Amino acid sequence: MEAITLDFAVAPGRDDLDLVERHRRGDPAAFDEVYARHGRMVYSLALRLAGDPEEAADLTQDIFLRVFRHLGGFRGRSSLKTWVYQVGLNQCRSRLGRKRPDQQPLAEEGAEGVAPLPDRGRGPEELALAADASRRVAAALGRLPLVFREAVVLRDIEGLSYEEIGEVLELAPGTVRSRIARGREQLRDLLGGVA
Amino acid sequence: MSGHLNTETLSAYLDGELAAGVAAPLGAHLTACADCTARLEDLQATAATLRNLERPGPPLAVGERLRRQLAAERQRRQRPLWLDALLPWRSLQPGLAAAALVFVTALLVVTHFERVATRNAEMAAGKSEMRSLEEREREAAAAPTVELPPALRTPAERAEPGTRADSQASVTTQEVAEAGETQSADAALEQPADAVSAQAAAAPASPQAARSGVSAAGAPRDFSRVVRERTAAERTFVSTGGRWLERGLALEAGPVEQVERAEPLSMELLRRWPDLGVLLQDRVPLPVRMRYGERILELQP
Repeated sequence: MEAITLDFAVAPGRDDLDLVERHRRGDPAAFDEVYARHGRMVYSLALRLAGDPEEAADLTQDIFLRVFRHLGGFRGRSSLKTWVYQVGLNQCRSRLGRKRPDQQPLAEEGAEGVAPLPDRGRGPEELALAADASRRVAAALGRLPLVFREAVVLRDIEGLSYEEIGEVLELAPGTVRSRIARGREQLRDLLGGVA
Repeated sequence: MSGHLNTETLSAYLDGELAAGVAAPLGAHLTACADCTARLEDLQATAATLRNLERPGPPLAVGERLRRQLAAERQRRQRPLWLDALLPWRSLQPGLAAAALVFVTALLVVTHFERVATRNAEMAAGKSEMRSLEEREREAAAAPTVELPPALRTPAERAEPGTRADSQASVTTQEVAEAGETQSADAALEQPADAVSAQAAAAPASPQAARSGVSAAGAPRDFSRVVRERTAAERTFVSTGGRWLERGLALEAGPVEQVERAEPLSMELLRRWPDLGVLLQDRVPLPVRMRYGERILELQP
């Protein structure tokens, strides 16, 4: 069995602080760099939490606008990455919190499970199956309560450590564990068992 | 180990988030327990399904839009503060917006009556250059009544709906005229209101002015700070905070015909009337009193 652990430095690197300092001094290239480093993770987070590419695009824009406005106040108590996640998550929550979690129905409700992921060198049919599987997983994610969705997205899609997730969500380690476990469990049930 | 492992433990085990001392005996249990192993594999497969989801970067358009937005944001930060006062719409509090709407409505009404009064005054101008105090008081009392909206009334006026809203204003006008007579109009415009009001306060107050000095609520109503308008045609904004505001709120909005056209409070309107924006931004301590011809309106906080 394979235990997957991705370790990230939680403390801010000198690099983070330098970047922030350059931003404070009004260097526009500093923010460009922040966007280049964290744009993908923010968009991905927004996409998986919101479940809609257009909304994710709007959210990404809003999130970075907030990051731009508040970056000067970043004091380095966490890494810049977890701080940006935090900003992003708050923005997503404020928009998604108003929606019911079941607003995004499963693409094919009642269908049996999710097709196994095809190997490399797959043909058109397999590619179509993979795309379909991806849609169904994304739709199932959309039906998870937001607190569990956040936890599994941060863990399994974004690859954050439990410690980082605790920082981003401001939760105790035990709660992080519990949310990830329950999120996975519910998702498994929603997907009807993953072969 | 007896019994089965709970989902939370299995999930943390899967992630290698259990302490070595805890993980080792669990490994031994899993080797022996098919049920727990099956559940662990289920969780693993679910996690793998998520990990295999595409993790796309933001569309290029997002970067472009953001760049434009940030350029505007940077420009805004470099803009002097007073310019922000011209664009107060986004930060308007609902209460202030309502007050502004009431204020604008009142302004339109007052402007209309003022035009009538100005015409009358022009016709009468040839008859007498200097009128007695009694005459001016009589005229003020006979001036057309404008019912001020509740938000612009004093507590006393609100308590007594039948009270003529203009009685206090017309009395104060005497005082304003006297204040203006103590100095040249040009000098008044160059000095801060405090300096002007000091001179104005030295002017003799009429009995009515003394009466209007205290409202029914007991708060002093210091109209001595109201400074005479520069010319008959222009209006002057006056603040009790000792600061001159832009003059000519009404006239800067355009010819009288345009002012009288009823317009909803809008961004455009606020741009044309920066003073209104200044007030709404609360950059000037309220209450602010504004003189329009024979009347003084008070915008309360």
